[in-house]
Amino acid sequence: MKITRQGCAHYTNGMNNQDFCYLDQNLKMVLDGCSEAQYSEVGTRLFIQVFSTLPDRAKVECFEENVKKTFDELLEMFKKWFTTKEAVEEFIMDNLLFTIVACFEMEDSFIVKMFGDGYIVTVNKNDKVSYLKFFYGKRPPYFAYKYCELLEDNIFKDYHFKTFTFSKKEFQKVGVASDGIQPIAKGDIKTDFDTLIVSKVESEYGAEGIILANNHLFKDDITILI
Amino acid sequence: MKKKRAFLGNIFGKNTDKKDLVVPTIVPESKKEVIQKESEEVKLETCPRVNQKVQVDTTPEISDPYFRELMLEGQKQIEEAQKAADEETSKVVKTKPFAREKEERFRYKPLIHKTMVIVLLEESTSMNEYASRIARIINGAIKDNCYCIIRYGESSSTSKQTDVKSDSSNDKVCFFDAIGTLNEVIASHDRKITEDSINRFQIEHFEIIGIGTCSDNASTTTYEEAGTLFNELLSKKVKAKYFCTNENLMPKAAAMGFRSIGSLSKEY
Repeated sequence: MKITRQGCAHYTNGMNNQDFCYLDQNLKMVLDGCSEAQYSEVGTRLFIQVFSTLPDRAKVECFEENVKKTFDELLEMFKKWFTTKEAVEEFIMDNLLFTIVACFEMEDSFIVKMFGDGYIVTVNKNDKVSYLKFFYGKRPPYFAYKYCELLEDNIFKDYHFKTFTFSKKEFQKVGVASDGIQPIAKGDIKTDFDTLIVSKVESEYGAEGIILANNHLFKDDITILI
Repeated sequence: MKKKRAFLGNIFGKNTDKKDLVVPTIVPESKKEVIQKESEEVKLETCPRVNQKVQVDTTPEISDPYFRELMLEGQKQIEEAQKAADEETSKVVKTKPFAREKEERFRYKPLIHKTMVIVLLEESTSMNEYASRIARIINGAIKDNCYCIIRYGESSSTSKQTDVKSDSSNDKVCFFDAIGTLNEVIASHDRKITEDSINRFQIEHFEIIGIGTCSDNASTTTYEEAGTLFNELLSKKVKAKYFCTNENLMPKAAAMGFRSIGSLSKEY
């Protein structure tokens, strides 16, 4: 299931969908752009375009290095226009603030790598859906902060990717999602969304229909990849 | 007729001629009956109006034993009727306005469906530092008196106390046994109807809030048994969420089947 939709608050404020997702072989990745940043949707799309060109992008052991490589590449590309340190950091703050949640399907397990906030969606062996919420307040850590030297009280500089392992003995499916799916996780939607996630048949239209019907509840952009 | 009048007059205290009363000595059987009937009619007539006291002349001058008998009988009957009338009037006074107020009136009590909150609270050393946050979660979840707290450490028990002990020094945790206790609590409260003066309440839904490490080291119940039991519970009208002490424990809660999972520590 691959769904990405604009949140109703973004629609009313004239903002684009700042989330973006990427599906490749055994890799599912969701990027959730920072709402406060001016062009974070540009950053998410640029990141995926560059990341998808890397040869070992589907290897979990190379993932953190690949993310770093992609950011380095992006900054190198725009160096020509942003010559000073201040200008570079301003460009980063406007474009490259987004959370990264990636799930690799291995032979016997699912490995989730996470930088920032978001959701992990799981289906256990009894067909029960769980929503694991990772939330760090209004100022979540973004990978791009590692490149911001001038930023005051930059507590995120030494932060690293979090890794979670889900055994295939206990879990049928593991997916990733942006924090926009909060109304589903909290149970605010009366329609049974979980059955669509458990379903083995592709059910994107049904899921999108439910989101559309409850559009007023989804303030933030929604992205689910499972 | 004169004799009869004399007799009746004597009953109502009229001055009658004593000579008239003394004269008849033998009364035929048919006449006796007539007299008796008439005397009864008189008594019945006087009964409802007995508030005026009837004076019966029982002077020893009446020498005829038959009349004497009749008079005494009549007096007795009048007294009884008077008593009965008195009792009736007193009864009416007692039952009138005040007794109606005391009567229970039928009142329709609408049935209201409620959600029972059940907190699965782990009591171990690792929980001590989160005592204040746990207290906030519990107090936020409990909206009314419809809740139950299952505390589990070395053993599991149910209580209504919401306070969180922050001095626990126990490392043994029987989480799987606590799921058995949870099953018992749900079975005993499911669709149970309680009522107050205005409404009736039926427990229709359950909300389980687990708080702890989602780990187990002292249960007699196995992981598989607890898993299947919890899965059965979740197929009923049960919502389950879990707050882990740290993020690394969250996959354990997901494997168990809790729907919404969060972490108590927000440190990255």
